Amino acid sequence: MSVSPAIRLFAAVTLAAAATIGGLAWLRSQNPSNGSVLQPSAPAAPFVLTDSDGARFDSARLKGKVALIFFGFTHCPDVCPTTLAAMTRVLEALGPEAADVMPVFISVDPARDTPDEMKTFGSLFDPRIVMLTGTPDEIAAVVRDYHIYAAKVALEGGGYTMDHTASVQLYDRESRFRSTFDFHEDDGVILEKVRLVLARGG
Amino acid sequence: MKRLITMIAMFALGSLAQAADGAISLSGVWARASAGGNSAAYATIANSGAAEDRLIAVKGDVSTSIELHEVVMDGDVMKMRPVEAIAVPAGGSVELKPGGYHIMLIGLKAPLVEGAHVALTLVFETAGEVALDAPVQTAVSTGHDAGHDHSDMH
Repeated sequence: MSVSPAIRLFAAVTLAAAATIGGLAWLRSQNPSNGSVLQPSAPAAPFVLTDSDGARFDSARLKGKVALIFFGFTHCPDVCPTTLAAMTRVLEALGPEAADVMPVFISVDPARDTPDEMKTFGSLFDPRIVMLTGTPDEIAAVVRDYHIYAAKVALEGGGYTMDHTASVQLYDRESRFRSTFDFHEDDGVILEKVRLVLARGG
Repeated sequence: MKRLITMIAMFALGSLAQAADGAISLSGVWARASAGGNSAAYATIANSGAAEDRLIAVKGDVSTSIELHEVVMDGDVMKMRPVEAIAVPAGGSVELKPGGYHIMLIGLKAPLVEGAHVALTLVFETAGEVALDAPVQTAVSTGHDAGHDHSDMH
C-alpha cells in the first residue's frame, strides 16, 4: 500500500497539533500547571559549605530529599525574609511530608555572613532551613554552578546591598533541577509545586 | 482680651496643622521582627488632599539610619535601591509592602521582637511630620495578619 508523502506529512502535522492542543488543555487543568516541573536534567554540581554551627555541609546530604535552594544575604531587609517566611509557611503546611524536603539558604555575601550571622538571621525562620555560608571562593563557585546572579552594589550612605536572583530552586531527590518559585507566588501555588516535585520521586 | 486673641490664634494654628496632617492617613502599619542588623517597616499611606504629597524622609531612633527603598525585579533578579521620595497621589494611596517600597531600618540598635512597637516619624513635603507606630510582627508575617493566616495552605 502506498501513501503519498503529502498525506503522511498532513497526518503527522495533524497528530502533532492534536497532541499539543490536548497536552496544553491537560496542563491548564493542573494547578499550578504541570509545566511548572521540568523534565530532569543532569544532577546539580556538588558543593561543600559551612553551616550556621560552623560545621561543614556536604551537598551529598541533599540526595534523597527534595531541596529548596535559595540564595540571599542576611542584611537583606525585604525579599530574603519574605522568601524565607514563605518557605517557613510551606514547611508548616507540608506537615509530615516536610521530612522529605530540605530547605537551604546560601549566602551570596560571604564577607558579612559569618556562621554566627547566619544563625541569628535563621533564628527568625523555620529551624529546618539549613543556613550555609563559605569562603568567597566557595560561594563564587556555587553561585556559578547554580546559575545565580549576585552583585555587590554600593549604597550612598556607605555600606552595600546585593542584587541577586530571588527565585528558589527546586531539586528532586536525585539533585536534578526541576522547578522554581518566588515570593510573588501565593503560598498555595508554591506548596503545589513542592508537592509536584515530591511526587516525581527520584 | 489679649489672651483670648492668643487662644484664638493658637486654635487657628492648631486647626491648620491638623488640616495639613489630616490629608495623610496610615493603615496596615507593621515592622518585621529582626534579630539584629537591618529590617523594614511598611504601611499604606492615603492622601485625601487635593494635591499630590511626597514622603521625603523618615525619622526615628530605632536604627543608626533610616532610608526609603524600593525593590525592583529585573527578570528574576532582586535589586534594592534607595529612593528620594515616595509620591502619594491626590485622593489616592501608595502601599509600602514586601517586594515594593519599604522604610529600611539600617543598623538596628536592638533586635525587633514581636509585640514591640517601632516609633517613626514620616516627613511629607506638604503634610509635614506624621507619627507612625509600627507593631513588630513575626518575620514569617505576610503583613496582612501577624503570620497566623495559613488558611490558603491547607
